[in-house]
Amino acid sequence: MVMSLGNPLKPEALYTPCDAGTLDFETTADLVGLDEVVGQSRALSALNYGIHVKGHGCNIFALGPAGIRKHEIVTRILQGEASSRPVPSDWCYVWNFKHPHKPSVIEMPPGRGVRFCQHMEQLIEDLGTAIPSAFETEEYQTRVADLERDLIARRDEMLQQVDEEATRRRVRFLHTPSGFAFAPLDAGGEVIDPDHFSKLSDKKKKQIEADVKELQERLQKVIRQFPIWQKETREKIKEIDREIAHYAVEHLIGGVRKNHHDLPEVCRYLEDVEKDIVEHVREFRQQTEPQAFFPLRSGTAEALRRYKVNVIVDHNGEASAAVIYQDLPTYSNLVGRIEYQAQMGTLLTDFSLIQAGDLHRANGGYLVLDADRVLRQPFAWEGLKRALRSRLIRIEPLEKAYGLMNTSSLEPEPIPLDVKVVLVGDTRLYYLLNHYDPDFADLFGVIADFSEEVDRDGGSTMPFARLVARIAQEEELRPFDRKAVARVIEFSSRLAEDASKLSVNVRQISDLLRESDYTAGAREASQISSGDVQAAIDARIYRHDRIRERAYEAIGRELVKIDVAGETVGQINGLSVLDLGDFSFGLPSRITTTTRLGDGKFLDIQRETRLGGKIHSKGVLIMSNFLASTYAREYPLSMSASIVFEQSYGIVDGDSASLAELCALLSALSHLPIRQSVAVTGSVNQRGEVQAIGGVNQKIEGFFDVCSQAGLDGSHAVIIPASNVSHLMLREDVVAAVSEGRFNVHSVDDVNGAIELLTGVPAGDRDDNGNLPTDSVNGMAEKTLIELAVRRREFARNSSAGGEEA
Amino acid sequence: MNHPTARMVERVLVAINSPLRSDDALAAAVELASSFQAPLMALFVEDVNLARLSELPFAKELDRSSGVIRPLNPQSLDRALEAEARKLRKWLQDESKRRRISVSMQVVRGHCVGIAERMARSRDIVFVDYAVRRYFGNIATGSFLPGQDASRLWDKPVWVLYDGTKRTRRALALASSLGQTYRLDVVILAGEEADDNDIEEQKSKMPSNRKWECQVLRLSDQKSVIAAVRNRGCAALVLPREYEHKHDFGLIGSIMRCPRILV
Repeated sequence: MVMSLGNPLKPEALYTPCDAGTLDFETTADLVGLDEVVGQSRALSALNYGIHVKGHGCNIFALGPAGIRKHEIVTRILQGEASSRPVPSDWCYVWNFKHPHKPSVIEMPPGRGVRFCQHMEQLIEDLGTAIPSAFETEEYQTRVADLERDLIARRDEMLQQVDEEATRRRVRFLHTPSGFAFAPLDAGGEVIDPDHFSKLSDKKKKQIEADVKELQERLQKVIRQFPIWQKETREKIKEIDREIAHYAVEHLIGGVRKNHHDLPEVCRYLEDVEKDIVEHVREFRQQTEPQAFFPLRSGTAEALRRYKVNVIVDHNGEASAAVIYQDLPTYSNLVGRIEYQAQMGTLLTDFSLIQAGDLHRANGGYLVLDADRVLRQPFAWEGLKRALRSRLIRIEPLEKAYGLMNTSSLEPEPIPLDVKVVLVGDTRLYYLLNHYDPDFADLFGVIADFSEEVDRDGGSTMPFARLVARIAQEEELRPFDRKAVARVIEFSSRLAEDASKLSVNVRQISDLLRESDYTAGAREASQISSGDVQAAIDARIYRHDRIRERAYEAIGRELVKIDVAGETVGQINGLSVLDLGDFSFGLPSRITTTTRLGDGKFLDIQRETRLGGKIHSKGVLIMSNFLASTYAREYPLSMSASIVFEQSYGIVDGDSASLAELCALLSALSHLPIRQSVAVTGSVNQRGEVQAIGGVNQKIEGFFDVCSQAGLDGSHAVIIPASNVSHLMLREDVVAAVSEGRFNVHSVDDVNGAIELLTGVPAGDRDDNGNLPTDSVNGMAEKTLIELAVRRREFARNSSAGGEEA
Repeated sequence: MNHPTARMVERVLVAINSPLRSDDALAAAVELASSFQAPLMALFVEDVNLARLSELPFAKELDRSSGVIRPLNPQSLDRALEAEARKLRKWLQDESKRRRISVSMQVVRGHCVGIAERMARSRDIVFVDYAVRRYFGNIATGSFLPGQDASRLWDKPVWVLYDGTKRTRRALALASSLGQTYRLDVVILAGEEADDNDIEEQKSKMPSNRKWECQVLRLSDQKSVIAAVRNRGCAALVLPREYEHKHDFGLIGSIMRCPRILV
């Protein structure tokens, strides 16, 4: 005969259905798709604040679980806001004439950057012909030739004077292979013969030598003037060059200036361009082809290259500020990069190879990034923080920033940054960053916390139905009838693991809707029914079900020992949840305890073998403290106990088994057997109160499935914390079994309630004298503990006496 | 190329005054020898006065660029001259192959003009570079450039001294021929003796179907001559051999920096 177990929960408490009658439509085709966001008022308010608040560091971190379309919501809101903001400036990099390795930046009104670039391209083309032409004029050639001729004449004149002086002294001015020399002449006008010279008187010789020396010194002075004259001539030629160049380029640059006269920065730049062209005009005078070995760094084209304009941000044709999303937020993609061109094994670069990053493109608008992706990319997080902190976009090659390469490179002028960055990430990441990165709170001061669930009430079911309608419309699915929508709502509650909540995990709901559509399509239906939705749920479970099936099979074949009938002292069925990512299921585990004389120590075998997590260990310690405080307040706890999850080979964590463990321990102490047809889940505190746990639905269904294998006879039940009752959204077959009396679910508030259900013996409360009834579980347990304490005292006394005798 | 006046040229003689070597004269001589298909003889003339100076105990030279004074001795001078001669010989050999002309070279010591005159035959064209009269010679143009295109020498007019004598007629004929061949303008520098009718007659004999012009300037009109030299430049001055010493051009001569072709 099946023993009755207290008052089980009614079937109505196990599942909260959605009444299709309350849904005011026939199919979702009748509904307008939901445009607003369901149940995210907190996050929306935060986003609204974050977008509008001014100030450094008011960037936004949008956090919440995956699958709730944070990205979509954030982007939609940002786009709405951006559309009312002005189009940001264009930005151009140009040659810096004072410091060529530090390209200058010019800010321009939107759309003007490209026009300016085109004007400069045209200017370069015009210069390429105008300058050489200007220098081919006869006037220029004549002026330069005159200067060169004057220089030669001036030198010749001075040499002529020396020559004439030499002639007066009867000395010949001669050319040598590398210079000049003076030679005395004989009477015939020829250079004096060495023999003849040797025969001259000493006085004559000295006179000649003195004359020659004097002439040499004079000539030396003259020669030393030549470089000065040459320099003077060069300067004069340069001045003519400048003059000619000025005439040649003035009107060309004037044309560009006229188009951009309203931009002082451009006008200043054009002045610099004009000065530079005039200064370096010789480089442009001849149209030379680039040399084969250095095509990038030679020729007129290269000389003119520095007047190009590199428009790195172009907002031409745009109507509002930008919202940029980068799915590969590398350092370079964020802050920009300097590209190089390989030339014969040498890497060359200049300002025209500077490439914009997303911070440039989003400047003046919004940048949306995935937090985890930013953190995964080397140096991207540091680069982003640096830019936000300094409010400048500084393009710096990584190898230089981190001192890995010391070759000279460009240092582009930084661009002022005015962007709102929205990082999208999960909750855990937000708290990690907040805890470990001191800069984070300074830079991301606004948190937009997205919730995964909303309250399930009359106000949320219709918006949820419209959400279903919207997804169906967006994905071009068949319309869902009202019962199908009701089933989706129930599914959503089950996802939330709370009958009073709805999950807004759009990804999982979309998956279900798509599969329901597929099922309806298979039966060639024009609408999706609740049966299609249920079939989709079942099919999805079936696809993920292999491991669960194997686990239950192992129990059925007694490879894993789980008793679902009979009674045993110190043995209980606990319940755990195996999470496989997209799918989780409950599984009973046998928990056994043993007790013996000891000093109050509890041996948690899971912990000793490092197969128990910290929370589980905490649960065991709480339980031991409950025992000590409940039964051994006036004598030492003289018991040692060991607790183990039998046939558990993986990590056990969580404290949801602490109620089961405590009940098993009380059974061992009271020597009262526990009904094996009942499984227990719940955590206890030091006072013996039972607290809520997670995964209650899966746990009940897990035990139900295992019992079903053996055959349900009405004795099978699960004890759950009373505070978990509102979470129940059990499977239809479980609810049916409960309705038919084949299975039960009990809720308890404290350990006494649980132990009574498990043993069938009253737990027992202390009377006014503080005594427990002797026939109660607690009374028997206390008796055992007192006996153990007495035995321990005797044992200690005997040991002490034996020790003294020895 | 068969030059119209080839039959009046037996040989092209070019006197290279070392160390005042002349690239222009040499290149022009090669060009002309090639045109006439005449053998070219190069005289590398080592200045005898320089050799004597180097043997004097106090001989010193001043560096052309820096003005530094350093000793000059026969050994260092010979080495420098030999090096120059080697380079010249190599260049001539290359030109000989390139232009298929017969080339010979002789190193002699003496006076450039004197040696050139002494070794010239009556139907030789003799090139003597003006550099012998300059202080800085061809410094600006550097050393020999193998394969140098002589045509760059011929982009200015060729000047010719004409006074109506038979010798100057020959010079005029050569200048006219050069003008015709290289499409150069010809500037006739007319002496006092030449009368206008004769000059006009000579001009009319020149081919007129070419795009070159003939200008006549009186040697006595120094201002016009100087202006023309400055404005138009000078590819070469053609004059009878004996006139090299007979005429002193004064200022005109000093600004007319070009090779002289002695006929």
